Amino acid sequence: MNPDELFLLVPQSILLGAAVLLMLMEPFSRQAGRRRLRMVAVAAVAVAAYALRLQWGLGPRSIGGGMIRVDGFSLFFQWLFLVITGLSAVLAADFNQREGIDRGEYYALLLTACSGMSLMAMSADLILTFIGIEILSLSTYILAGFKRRDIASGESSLKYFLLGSFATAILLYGIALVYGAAGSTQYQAIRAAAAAGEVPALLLPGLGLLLVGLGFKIGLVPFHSWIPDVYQGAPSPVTAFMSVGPKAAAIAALLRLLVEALPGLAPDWTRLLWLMAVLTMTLGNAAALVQSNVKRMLAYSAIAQAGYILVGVVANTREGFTAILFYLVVYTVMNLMAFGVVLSLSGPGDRRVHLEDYAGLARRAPFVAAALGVALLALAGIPLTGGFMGKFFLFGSAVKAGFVGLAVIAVLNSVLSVYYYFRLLVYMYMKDAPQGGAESISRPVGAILAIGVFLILWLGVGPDRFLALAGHSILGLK
Amino acid sequence: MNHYLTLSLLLFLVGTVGFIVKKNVLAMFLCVELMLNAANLAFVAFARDLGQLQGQVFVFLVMVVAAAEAAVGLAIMIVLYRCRGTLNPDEADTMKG
Repeated sequence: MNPDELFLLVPQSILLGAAVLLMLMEPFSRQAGRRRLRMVAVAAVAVAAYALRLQWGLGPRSIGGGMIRVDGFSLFFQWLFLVITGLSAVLAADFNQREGIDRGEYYALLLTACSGMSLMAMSADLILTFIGIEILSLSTYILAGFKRRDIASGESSLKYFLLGSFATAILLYGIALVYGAAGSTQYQAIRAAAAAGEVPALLLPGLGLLLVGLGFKIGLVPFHSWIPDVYQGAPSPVTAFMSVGPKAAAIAALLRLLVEALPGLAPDWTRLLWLMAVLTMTLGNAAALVQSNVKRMLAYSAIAQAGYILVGVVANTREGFTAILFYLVVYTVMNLMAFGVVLSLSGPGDRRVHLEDYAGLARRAPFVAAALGVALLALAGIPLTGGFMGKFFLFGSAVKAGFVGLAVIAVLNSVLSVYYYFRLLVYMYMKDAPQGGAESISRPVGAILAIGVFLILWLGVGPDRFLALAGHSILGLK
Repeated sequence: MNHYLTLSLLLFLVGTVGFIVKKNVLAMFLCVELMLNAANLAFVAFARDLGQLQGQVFVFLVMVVAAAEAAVGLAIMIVLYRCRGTLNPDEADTMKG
């Protein structure tokens, strides 16, 4: 690799270097010095984001013998992942101190997870995708079980690990089959093999197994069963991270794989994903209706949201992909806000996460209730919020691509979802608090909530500029 | 060639079925390792068939990943065993809904 190519990998190196540094600093820092560890993580994220900024406008490049693609698509996702990682580190601060898990490894693992996610978005080779997924997964397995003395956290970690490694094994077998069918694992070579006359016999089963593996990471029905338990049991800041980061990364990898390597099989995978999108939305929403634990409800909501995003993949048009990128940003903002409130209010032991605990929240903490309210309205897709615009673009792209039935089902599902989002609103605004006492949230979390409210409303009223950016990013995908 | 692939497929199926029916976390984890090795065998067989070295290199990468996974997985199991004193996944049922 020449120096020019290495420059493109600087952001990854910064993240990994900072992760190693954090592990080295951890044994030498006292309890009072933990703040510094968090600052190192946030600083690394900021520097990496700046290094990425320098790459914008260089045009698409292929490096590492065609394994890594640096283009608008990967830059967009890398930025998104950096923002998610940085916000997760900030959101976790108070929570971790309260729960006694404020350790350097926590932030180091967030950074390694971020580098794994970035690799997934940059990868143009199945093997690199696999390695990216594994870097991400191994980090999140540990994060999920970070509260070592807590049974729920350990259970969540174990379930995630067992089902996750099962899914990666299936994914790997799919990669082996595709390798045998196409004679290479590079996306361009697979594409050429699929386009040349007859489709190799092993390619279709290979694609199926790949979809199982990635579907598990995204949390698509029928590979969603791990999500509720893992999200409920993991420490709340980790749940916040898992519900946005790995999901977005897996969708990025899925898009790259389907659009760059397997456009020849589009009729097959659109049919399959159509079915999965419908099942994911419907089951996710139906199960969310009956939950009384807010974390679990948000977990099912995250499943349903993945179904909406899949609508854009099924559309298989530039508009659909642009809508996905736009929606992922909105989804990140609203989900992080919702979980930011949940983790601030959850109290000692991360236990106060039931609907009753939110009764009368509007009176006890008007600002927090309002922020959570905006996030919930956006998740439900109420007009004037970014959530509405995102869904509008997603479902609109499906209609234009001729999938009217799918769009109708998606809209009906959104209507259904209003019920459980509004139930939480009703608890906050219309029920009396059983016992008073004002809630307090830390200043950084408050700042994030305020910015989040602004972003959601801004994206809901004037999405044009952002949509143009997403549309520009998608140009690299081909 | 076909024999290698048949064996690999058999290993994969044994791993998959084993993962689903086993009642011990360690046994389930071993089944996953079996599936990974089935993929390794397929990689090597295809590499030989195609006359490439690539596939054989992948095997080394997969081995490294499998080792890392084992390290993390066993650590998680030990933590949970200390908390609960059992490795039966059916008894890990604190969360329902």
